[in-house]
Amino acid sequence: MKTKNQIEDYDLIRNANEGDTNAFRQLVYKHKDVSLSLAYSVLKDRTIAEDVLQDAFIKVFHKLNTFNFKSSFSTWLYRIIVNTSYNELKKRKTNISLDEDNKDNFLTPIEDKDFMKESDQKRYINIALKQLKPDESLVLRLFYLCELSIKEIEKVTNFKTSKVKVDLHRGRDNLSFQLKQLLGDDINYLL
Amino acid sequence: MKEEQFKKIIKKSSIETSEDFINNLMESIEIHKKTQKTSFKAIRLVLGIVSVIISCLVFLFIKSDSKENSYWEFMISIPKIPLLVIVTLSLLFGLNYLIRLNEENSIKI
Repeated sequence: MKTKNQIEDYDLIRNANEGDTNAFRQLVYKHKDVSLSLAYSVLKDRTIAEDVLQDAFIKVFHKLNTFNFKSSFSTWLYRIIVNTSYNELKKRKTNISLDEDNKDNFLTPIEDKDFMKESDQKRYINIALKQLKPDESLVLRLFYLCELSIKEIEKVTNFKTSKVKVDLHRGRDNLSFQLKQLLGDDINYLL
Repeated sequence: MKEEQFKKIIKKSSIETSEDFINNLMESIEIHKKTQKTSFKAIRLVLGIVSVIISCLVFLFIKSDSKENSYWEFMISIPKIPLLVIVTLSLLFGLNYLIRLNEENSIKI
C-alpha cells in the first residue's frame, strides 16, 4: 500500500514529466536534506557532497520519465545519489582526507552543563559519523534517518544482506564509541 | 545504546543544503537543457560532414577501377596516399569531436 508521502511524490513526478518545473522544484525541496546527508556519509565533505547532489538531481531530472511508479521514489532517488557519490569518491579518493572540513570538526565546549544546543548536538553527531567508514555511516543513515528496511538498503546500495547487517552492527558500535570519545558522560544530552 | 536511542541520534544528523541550492540546481538544469540542444545540432552537422567525406571516398575508390572516362582518369591521377591521410585525419577529428560532445552530455546512473 502506498503512503501519503509516496502518492504526493507520484503526483509531483507526473506534473514534472509534463513540464512543470515547479513540481520538480518541490520534489527536490522534499528530499534535498536527507539526500545531502547520504552523499555526505560517503564523501565526508559538505561542499563536494553538495556538488555531487546537484549532479545527481540533474540526472534525476533527465531520467524522471523512466521512473516506473512501481517502487518508492525515494528508494529510486537514493540509489542515484549513492551511485553518484561512490563514483565521485572513486575519482577523488586520493584527494579526500578524513581531516578535511575543519570547520565542522571544530568543537566548542558545552557552556551550559544542563543543556546542549540542538546545533551543537547535530555537530557532535556528524563529527562522530564522519569518523565511520563511508559504508557504515551510509547504512546507518539509510536505516535510521531514511527508515529503509534491510531489503531496501540492499536495493539502494547493491550491498549483500550480510554486508548491510555487518555494517549496521559495526556502525552502531563505532558510532557509540566515537560519541563516548567525544562527549564522555555528556553523551546523555543526546539521548 | 538502545535501538530507539540510535534512531533519535541519527535523526538529528540530517544536514541542510545551502539556501540557494534549489535555485542553483534549476539554473544548472536550464543550462544543461540549452547545451544539449546545441550539442544535438553540432552532432548532426559533424555527422553530415563525415558522411559526405565517407561517400566521396567510397565513390572515388569504386570509380578508380573504371578507366573509360577521361574525367575518372584525371581522378585516378590524384595521389591516393595524401588524400587518404587527409580523409583519415578529417574522420578522426570528427569522431574526436563527437566523443567530446558525448562526454560533456553524458548522463551516467
